[in-house]
Amino acid sequence: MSADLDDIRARAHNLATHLDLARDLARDLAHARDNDLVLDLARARDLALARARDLARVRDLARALDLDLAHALARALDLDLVLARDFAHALAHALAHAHDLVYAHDLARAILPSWMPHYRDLATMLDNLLEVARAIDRALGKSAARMGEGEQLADARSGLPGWVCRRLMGGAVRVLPAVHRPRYADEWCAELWELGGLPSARRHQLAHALRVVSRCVVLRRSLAAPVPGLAPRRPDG
Amino acid sequence: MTLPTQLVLRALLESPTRERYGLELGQAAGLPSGTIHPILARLEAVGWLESSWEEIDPHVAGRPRRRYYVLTADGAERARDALARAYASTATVARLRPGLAGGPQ
Repeated sequence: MSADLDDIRARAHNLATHLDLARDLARDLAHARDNDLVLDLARARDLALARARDLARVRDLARALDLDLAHALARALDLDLVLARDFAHALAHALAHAHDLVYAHDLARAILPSWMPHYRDLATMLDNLLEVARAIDRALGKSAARMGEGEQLADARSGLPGWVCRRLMGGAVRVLPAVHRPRYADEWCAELWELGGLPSARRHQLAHALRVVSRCVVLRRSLAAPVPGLAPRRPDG
Repeated sequence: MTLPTQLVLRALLESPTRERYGLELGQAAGLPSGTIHPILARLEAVGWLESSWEEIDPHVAGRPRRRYYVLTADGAERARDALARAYASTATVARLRPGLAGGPQ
């Protein structure tokens, strides 16, 4: 019985010890929990403040970015407009040059039925053709009333040689050696006048002028060839 | 000698002393207008042709003066010889212009 009582007493003592430990542990836990909660709340508050500051920064940054982007976009658009305007000008110039080149190319094709061995003649001819093309372009901008101007006798006839024919003839004359130009200018003018009496005079005159242009380089070679002594009494090969 | 040159010489020899202007000669030779002047220039350069301006007052006549061409005496003779040599081989001419070689048109 006493052993049981001792045992019970020991167990009760152990229980009290464990209860004390449990109480201490519970107190520690409660204390620790409270501290953690405060810390968590403090951290949450700091995080909230930090987030608010970040949001404010983000808002300011966004406003700044909006302004910068708007300015950048405006500048880019202005630059694009300037570039587009420059491009349009460049395109207009390119088209004008292309127009001249097309004219020169067409006329050169008409003039060069066979390859011309003297490239210097070719360069001179192309220069003359470009001059003709520019003259034609200038003339295109003038009114049709200009067709009645000029003192040439051909204009006094019903089948007037148009200014295109005269320009073509002028270009062909410029290809010739200078000493022969007045003669052929008058001779071709007389021929245009003669063709003015035919039906469909303008068409005949234009065809005639184009053929004259197409043969002017050959005529130049014929006129410039030193015939005496080199090819005696033979008009051609 | 090229075929167009032969055609021009033939047209000139039809009436060697008659003066004709370039457009008229080109039509007589059957050449397109505007293509005869290099031929005339070569013939003139070798002395077969001579040319001169028509003696008119353009304002009185109401038209530009023409440039007339005519064979020289020596040129007419040489042109006949040249055409005779060229006609010796008429096959090419007959093929290109049957009427010239007496063939069907």
